[in-house]
Amino acid sequence: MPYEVIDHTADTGIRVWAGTPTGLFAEACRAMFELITDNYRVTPVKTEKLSVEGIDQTDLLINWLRELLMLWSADRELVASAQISELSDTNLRATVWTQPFDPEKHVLYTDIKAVTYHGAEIICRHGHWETSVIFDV
Amino acid sequence: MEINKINDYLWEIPQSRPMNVPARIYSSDALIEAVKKEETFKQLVNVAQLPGIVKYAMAMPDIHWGYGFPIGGVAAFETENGVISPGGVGYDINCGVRLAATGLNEKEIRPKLADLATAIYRDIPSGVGSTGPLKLTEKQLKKVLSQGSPRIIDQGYGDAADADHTEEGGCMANADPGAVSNRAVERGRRQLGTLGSGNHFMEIGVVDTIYDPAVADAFGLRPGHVTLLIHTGSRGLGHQVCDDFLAAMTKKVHQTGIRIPDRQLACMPINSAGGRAYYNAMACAANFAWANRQVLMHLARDVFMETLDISPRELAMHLVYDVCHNIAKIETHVIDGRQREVCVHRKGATRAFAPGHPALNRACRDVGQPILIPGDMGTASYVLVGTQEAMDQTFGSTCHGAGRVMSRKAAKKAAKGRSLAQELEQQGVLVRASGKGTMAEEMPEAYKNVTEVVEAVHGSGISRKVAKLRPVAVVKG
Repeated sequence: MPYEVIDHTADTGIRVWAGTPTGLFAEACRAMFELITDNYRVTPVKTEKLSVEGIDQTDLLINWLRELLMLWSADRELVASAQISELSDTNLRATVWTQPFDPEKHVLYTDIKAVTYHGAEIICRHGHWETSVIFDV
Repeated sequence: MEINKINDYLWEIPQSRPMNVPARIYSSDALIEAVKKEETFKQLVNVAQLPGIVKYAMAMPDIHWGYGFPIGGVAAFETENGVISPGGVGYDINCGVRLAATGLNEKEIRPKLADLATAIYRDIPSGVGSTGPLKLTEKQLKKVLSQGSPRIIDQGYGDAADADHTEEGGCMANADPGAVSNRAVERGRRQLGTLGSGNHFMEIGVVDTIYDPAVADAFGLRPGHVTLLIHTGSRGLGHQVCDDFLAAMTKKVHQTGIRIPDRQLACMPINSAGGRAYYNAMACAANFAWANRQVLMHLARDVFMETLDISPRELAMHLVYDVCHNIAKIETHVIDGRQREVCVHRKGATRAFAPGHPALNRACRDVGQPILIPGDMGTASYVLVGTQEAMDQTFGSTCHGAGRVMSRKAAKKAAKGRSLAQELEQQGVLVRASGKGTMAEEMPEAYKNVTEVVEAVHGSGISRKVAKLRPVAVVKG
């Protein structure tokens, strides 16, 4: 499992690692939605194109998660999967597959309310990309 | 890190580079050790580095690890050279507490208490993604954002006196809906009159102990009488405002030359277009939160009357006070002997104005501002009053609650195999919650002992005990 849940007194977070920056961004998306729901029960029925900007790679990652969370908190769409087609230090393009929340089908675990910058810093060590992200819950 | 004990209730981290001021922690021997284990002091030291901070970066006894600013933090910044920080207010702008008292005593509600708790749980929207009873158009919502709870009272959700018993009269000046993003407006439209999830709740309690009869009387609190405590905030709208401005300020803060030790401390000069826009948007979210708690109280009032089959006169519900505990406000304080305008950030801290302060309504002007301190679900909640010591030491601020000691994961682990609802019922507290998960995360052991927190602020003099409320039923989102 290329991520783990961080135990934080007031909130919750993830520590994610991957072999590539693209992998890191995709994994962070998966981890966030696994905290929210049981991903196994989310079927990809709708697609959404996302284009995200940031001032640097860490800012871009937070903005990416922020946009994904918006699909949930504003539109009630659960993310099934995401494919990142372009990634630089400041720009990202992706296709995201979602399904509208259905209380009969989906379970909700953690109500993530925001993605924070706290302690987030993407680092690359021995070819492994790693970061932590703390969520407001 | 060097931490010096100044007296029984106060500790100090001396100023060292790059701090602009020392840091001070209000606490007690019973509470300070648990805080030392966390990253909290480092966060306080980070706050002390921000430009224009005045006197001290302060922490209340319920301090715990947040992101950026610690929760339970108070920091004031000069309005001419200082900064304003969305992270210093928090995501849930004007998360706060409202206390109403009734003319009923415990005996009168006991036979129907379970029905009452069930009806509140059924009729008051709560939980993840809940939507409210009011479907507002964009225009109607923007009126609420600029006018706060008085707007909603005008529409029949309460009495005119309610606004008078609300901090800022339920409406912060300078609220400009134009500064609020469409996304935030969209999220707010569906959520007015909803409790939300997490640590938000409605609690039916009984006035258990009175410590200061004269002040309790001025607040309308009578021994044995039934109370209603509401804890919630500005819901998705406030979160969106915070998120929008954090992102915008993260981009711009580098251009201002301000160095921040943590991205979550992104800030702008108060006197800049970006700083003012945040203040004006934050005021909108604060107004939304006051309107939200106003609608919730009105809904609860109806549930009480219907379930108990009584008239408004028999219920005699009146608002004691409504306080916010996540906010930044421009206030005037006496600093080094002269009056100065500062922007006071309270993140998980409550205003605690002293007797005679012009911001207080007629009912409490002579005694001081009511302060409402909710505890965990099983223990107690407290009513305190503001003091001159708070004006002199903490920019008129005090604690806001118990504060977590256990992570949510640890709480869930500790709750495994136990029936928390049953345990609480044996202690005389009925609980209605949307999920076992919330129950476990919010279990009493996950919080600091609220009595120790209250004793610390009472002992330090930054507020004084007035009454203790004993919970009898709790409804959680």
